[in-house]
Amino acid sequence: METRTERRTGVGLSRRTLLAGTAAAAGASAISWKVIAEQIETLKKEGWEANPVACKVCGGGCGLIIMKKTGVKPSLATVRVFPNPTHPQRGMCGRASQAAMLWASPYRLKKPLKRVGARGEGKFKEVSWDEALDGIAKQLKPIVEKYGESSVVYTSHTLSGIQKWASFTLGTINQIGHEATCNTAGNAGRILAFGKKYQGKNKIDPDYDHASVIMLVGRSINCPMGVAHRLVEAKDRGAKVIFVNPWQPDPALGTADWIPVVPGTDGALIFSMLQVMIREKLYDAEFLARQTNAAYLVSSDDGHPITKAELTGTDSDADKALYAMRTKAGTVVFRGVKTEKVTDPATGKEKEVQSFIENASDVPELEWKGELKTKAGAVIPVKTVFTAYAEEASKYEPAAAAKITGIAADRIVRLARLMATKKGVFEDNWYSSRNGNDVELCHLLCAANAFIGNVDQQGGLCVEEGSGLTSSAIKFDGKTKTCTAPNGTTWEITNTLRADHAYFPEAPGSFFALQKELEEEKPYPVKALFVTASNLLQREANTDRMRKMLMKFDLVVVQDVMPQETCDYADYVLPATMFLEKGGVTGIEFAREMGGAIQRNAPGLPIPDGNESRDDLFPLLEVIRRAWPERAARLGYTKECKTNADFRKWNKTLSEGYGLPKLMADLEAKDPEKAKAVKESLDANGWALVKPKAYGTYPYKKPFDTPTGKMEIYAFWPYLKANRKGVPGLPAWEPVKAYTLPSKPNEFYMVSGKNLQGNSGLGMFGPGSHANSERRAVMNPDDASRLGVKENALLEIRAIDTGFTEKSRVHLSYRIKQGCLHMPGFSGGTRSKLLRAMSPETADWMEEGVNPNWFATGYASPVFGPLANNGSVSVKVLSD
Amino acid sequence: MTEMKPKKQLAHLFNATRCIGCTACMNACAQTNYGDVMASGKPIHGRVMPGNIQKIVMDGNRRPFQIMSQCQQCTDAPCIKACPFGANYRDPETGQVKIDPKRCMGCNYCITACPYDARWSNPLTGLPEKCMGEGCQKLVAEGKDPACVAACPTNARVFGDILDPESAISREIASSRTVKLLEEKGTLPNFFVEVAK
Amino acid sequence: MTDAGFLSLTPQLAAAHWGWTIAFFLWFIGLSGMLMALFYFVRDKRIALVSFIASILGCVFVLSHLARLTNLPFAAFNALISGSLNFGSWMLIGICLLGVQAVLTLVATAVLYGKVKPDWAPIFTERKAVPVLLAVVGVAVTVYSGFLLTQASGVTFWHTALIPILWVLSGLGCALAVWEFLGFRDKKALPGTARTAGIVIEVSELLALFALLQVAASFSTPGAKAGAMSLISGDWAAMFWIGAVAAGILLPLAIRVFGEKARFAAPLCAVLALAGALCIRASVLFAGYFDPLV
Ligand SMILES: Nc1nc2c(c(=O)[nH]1)N[C@H]1C(S)=C(S)[C@@H](COP(=O)(O)OP(=O)(O)OC[C@H]3O[C@@H](n4cnc5c(=O)[nH]c(N)nc54)[C@H](O)[C@@H]3O)O[C@H]1N2
Ligand SMILES: Nc1nc2c(c(=O)[nH]1)N[C@H]1C(S)=C(S)[C@@H](COP(=O)(O)OP(=O)(O)OC[C@H]3O[C@@H](n4cnc5c(=O)[nH]c(N)nc54)[C@H](O)[C@@H]3O)O[C@H]1N2
Ligand code: SF4
Ligand code: SF4
Ligand code: SF4
Ligand code: SF4
Ligand code: SF4
Ligand SMILES: [Mo]
Repeated sequence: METRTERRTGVGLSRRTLLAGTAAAAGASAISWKVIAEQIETLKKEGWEANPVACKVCGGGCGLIIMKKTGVKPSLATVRVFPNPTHPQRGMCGRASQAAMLWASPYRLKKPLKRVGARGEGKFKEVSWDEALDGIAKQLKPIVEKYGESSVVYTSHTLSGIQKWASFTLGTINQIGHEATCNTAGNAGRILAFGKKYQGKNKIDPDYDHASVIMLVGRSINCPMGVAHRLVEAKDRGAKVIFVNPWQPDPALGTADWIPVVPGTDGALIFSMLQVMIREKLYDAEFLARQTNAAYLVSSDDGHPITKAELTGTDSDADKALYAMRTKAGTVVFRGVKTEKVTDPATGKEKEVQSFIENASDVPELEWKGELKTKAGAVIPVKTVFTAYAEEASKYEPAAAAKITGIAADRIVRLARLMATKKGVFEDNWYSSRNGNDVELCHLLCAANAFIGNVDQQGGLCVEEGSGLTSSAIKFDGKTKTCTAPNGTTWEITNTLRADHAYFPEAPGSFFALQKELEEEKPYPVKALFVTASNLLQREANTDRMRKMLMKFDLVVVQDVMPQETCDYADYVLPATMFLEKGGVTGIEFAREMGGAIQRNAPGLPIPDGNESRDDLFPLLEVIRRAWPERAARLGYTKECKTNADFRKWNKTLSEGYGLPKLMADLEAKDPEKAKAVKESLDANGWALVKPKAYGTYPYKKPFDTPTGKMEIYAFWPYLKANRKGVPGLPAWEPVKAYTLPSKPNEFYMVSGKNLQGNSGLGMFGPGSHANSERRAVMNPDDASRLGVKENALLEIRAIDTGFTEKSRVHLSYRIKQGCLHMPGFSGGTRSKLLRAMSPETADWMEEGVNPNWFATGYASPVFGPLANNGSVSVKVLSD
Repeated sequence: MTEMKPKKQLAHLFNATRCIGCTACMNACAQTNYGDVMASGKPIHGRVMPGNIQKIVMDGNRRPFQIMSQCQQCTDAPCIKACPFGANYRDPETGQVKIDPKRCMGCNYCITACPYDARWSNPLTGLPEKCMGEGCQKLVAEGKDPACVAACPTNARVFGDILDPESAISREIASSRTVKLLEEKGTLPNFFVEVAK
Repeated sequence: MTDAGFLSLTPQLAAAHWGWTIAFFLWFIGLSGMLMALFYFVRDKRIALVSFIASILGCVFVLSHLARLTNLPFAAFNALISGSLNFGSWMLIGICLLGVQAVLTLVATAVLYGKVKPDWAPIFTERKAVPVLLAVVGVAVTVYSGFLLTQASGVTFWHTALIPILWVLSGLGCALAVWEFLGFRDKKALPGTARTAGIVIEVSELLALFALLQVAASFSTPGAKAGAMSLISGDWAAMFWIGAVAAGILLPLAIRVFGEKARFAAPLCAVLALAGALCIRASVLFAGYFDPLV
């Protein structure tokens, strides 16, 4: 079925992947998608309209079709949500299938609100947009005049791109995202192993469609559904899926293996598996030697990589970028990456091409340890990266690792053999803010794939093809401090030190780091905050700290769809449109077969009657226009757009020359036939494949974005700058530093993550999540009987380090490892007084259970600044 | 009343080895069959949302697993036995247990009679609801799969005629290990839970 | 969320919503039914009248809980013409019995009060056949109202003949209570046998109740066990222990045994017995849980 659909679109996958991908996975799955297609067809005949959209209920972007009965006012009776049956990221989970219910939700914010009580008290009055926008502008202006533009901070989960239009236009560098609580460690791991270009969660991913054994260390696959579907297909093929997790995630309730590891000890487990592979010589020596920096030399003293500059060369940048490698012949050679400009034969344009500086006939020596003489005459002890690994791994013989990880030694041996001999793949992680040793773990997980030799090959950890879709944005050049708008207007930003970078120089986004700025005004004060699509009190570890931070701002504006908790701390709450009311063309993340694909978003739902929500960018820019018309004019935004329609019309002017038109023009120039096929598929299916995956490219043919261009199992990147010193080259395991380990009988690890039915933000308010998401803390029944805790007992839970205390009922379940309490994020523990005021009776359920961030210490590891959302708590039974 | 042999026996198979508990089937059931109930915003006894599926996680077991349960289309259905006016009956065509609104007074006796807790009271009509709702009956009449089956992202559901040995469901049953729920109640359920391939 | 392992099961209250209206329904028709039985021994027209009123009130309660009340006549008609009336259903049997009960008590009341055919009065006061019929129907209705629950096969706590027995006993207690009220002003009408009967009924009730809990808690399915537990120490424990057991049985028993001389002993026992019977019905009804699926 799949085969047929994709051929019809004319942009089918490469023949090879097509056959390999579908032969095995025929059967049941194909039938189901066909059935959806038929349902959609019938509804169309009955006068329903089909609109494609990428799901934005969580971050997965699965392909949905919104069906809407034409000629009647849309309501829950006339709107239905389906998975897009041909989509390469197909599938729809329960959270998405309640999208229409969220759109029609009685909880939705409808009008701008102005705070009338004390901050945090949740007392508001409805005001007109005019009053809200004027009020904000009036408060913002003196703040900027007194403290400078950089005193204004923007933060968001998924709408950072939108916020940047406003932050740069205003003149502040401080758009600081959610990453520290989400994917920072994973991104860091990918930066270290593959380079900055590949840091995105879906730039690198396992090729689920062909994988034989998939090991998911702290990845739940609650999202995206496309991957959940591909995993089921993989299982049909006989592949094995293994979850390493103190909690048994929902997808592990079927036929998958579950390895209940002690929290924070995953690194020891992986090293132990490497130890087995090394001892039993199961690793892929050829891959390690040729495609990674395993044979490169590092100092035995401080671990720094040995360069030509140090041994024989000059102090030029070029020689500093040439790394020493030992050959089997016993010589030391130097390797690096070169960049050349070549003309693209298809387009005639010049482009940069990178290649390796290396002599293919040099045979790398993996295992070696010895001494080298520097050009200054000193003799320094050195070893190969592989030897460094072998030494580290030798500390984790399975028997020793079993004691640390709680996983039996023979199981570790079996897992290692399975992964190595079946050429399994370690998932590289998405959400990874757990224990404070996560950067090392995420790097190690990438590196472990190198030992198996399974990188950028079918079934391995692969680079996902990009779609080539560009998006327009304000360009910022850090060297000249200059912003350039799409229309060519330029302006300067005075302060270019992002507030979080003052403390975490490589942070993708560490909002909590503003604590220092807020308390001590160091290095500079921050005073105003715009929160767009983010619930800081559920998002950030250590809720109390975040509450205190919110109290300190002079101005807080929250844009949201729902009356979530952070609204309580806002001076103004602005109602926002949700994704079913917006549109556009986007790339497809997590596409099947690792291809580069794009998709159209045209959900076509109107804003419900009586709801005055506006698209998020409108108020952000309108406030700037009201305070400083000349700054808004930088974008050509010179007069208020009174309606969403007007604003969208104007908004289009920002992206001229980007996005789909640009992509189509490029395709047209290169391959007109393909351009035609892409357009047809987009129109017919709502999506199109632009670029099929070319396996075996990185680093076989093209260098990665690392200092050596190789896959770096030992990171050289930290040695390029002094302020990166907190990140080790070798991702050695270290015990948890983020919180005190539980030690008494009534003390527990607090294990966080998401559950499948609960959801961040929007979904948290949905009836499906209400019905099905566990909000209570979850305890192992054996611990419970030891402590005399009964099902649904009321517990007092106290954070061991911060002393923060809250109450929750408890659910007993063998899905959580002994000694741990599971507490999913975004499920329970809402304390929103605004919500209470708006829906006095019906909101009870949202207050049940826990918000795990209450109990987290808020510890962040250095340099990248990822937070640890796990923690440790003690419990006391209050009543049965 | 339940002796007759139907021409077909339409049945659901729920594959516990594939289900990831995403609850899409539950919501698909709601939107396909009970859009009007949702749009009305009326509360429902015992359920947050209208729908015929219940998610049950058996995590008090050492080996936790989950079941998405719904009407079992019992051959010897207690709900049929309970109804005073014969409003619940077995469809001679499909073998499914149906409800005739014309004969129902909304006493909810069938709701307490169903050992599978598969029924609920529709706040708009007062009718006891269960699988299959009208939307799904229409789909099935058109030869399509019901909503929950189609919506499942992991293909954990199969629907079809178990009297036809060639049907997908019959083949799935033949090639796997399935169990039925609460068989000891003597209801002769026609709902298959696949527990191993 | 249902969970087999820890007995947080779905209560029928949540799904079928058989709540207070049904409790009152069961109470009224039990009262009416057992008054019909009592009439055999106490040929007092007021007993017939109260029985009639209770039977009507019972019907009002049961009708008021129908989610499709307006469809009732059509449902009955359609069932009739399509021949689908289900005499295997306790609900249908019950509807018929309720009808007979209402008609019989109405006729008895009307005749005894001389409104119609006053000359038939001796049939009710002197002869045996009609009072026996009344008694049989009365007991049948009460028994039916117990079997109604036992046929609710989703709820195993109710699957025991102890429920009809309990209903009969507590119904009898209620009937006795009415007699005690009536006899309070008219001393002759209330012989010492009433006290003895009360003691016997209350002791039997106590035994039946404990048997019910014992059976459910020790032998039956998780749903039954959950029901028993909710009465013993769970959600309905207060209503059960204080309302049904203490106030409804133990206290009247104590009064009868130790405080029979007190002026208000009889009416106090009567009030307590009536309230207790309601509490028994309500708590047993509310303690209905569905069994787990696995
Ligand atoms: N249902 C649902 N789905 C979502 C979201 C949501 O809110 N709800 N949000 C979306 C977002 S923003 C993201 S980033 C992705 C993330 O998707 P994933 O990366 O899959 O992250 P989680 O689902 O949070 O799963 C993290 C898992 O880590 C486990 N864990 C905790 N501590 C440890 C430990 O020390 N060791 C190991 N090995 N495991 C540990 C937790 O039990 C949890 O199951 O999900 C997206 N999808
Ligand atoms: N303990 C613990 N903490 C965690 C996690 C965990 O697993 N455990 N997960 C972490 C992860 S991975 C992440 S990404 C963060 C996410 O945390 P947040 O940044 O809070 O992100 P969301 O919850 O996705 O969305 C927040 C808000 O966006 C609103 N919203 C949705 N769509 C729109 C829109 O179009 N416009 C506007 N203005 N608002 C909109 C929603 O109503 C919601 O209130 O939390 C992190 N925190
Ligand atoms: S996993 Fe579910 S909520 Fe997330 S994007 Fe996919 S369908 Fe939407
Ligand atoms: S599962 Fe329940 S509703 Fe369905 S046929 Fe059986 S008894 Fe009737
Ligand atoms: S609710 Fe309707 S279908 Fe159910 S038993 Fe009563 S009359 Fe029959
Ligand atoms: S078949 Fe239809 S009515 Fe039955 S559970 Fe599935 S979606 Fe609901
Ligand atoms: S849709 Fe499928 S995977 Fe999701 S809960 Fe239902 S049966 Fe399970
Ligand atoms: Mo995230």
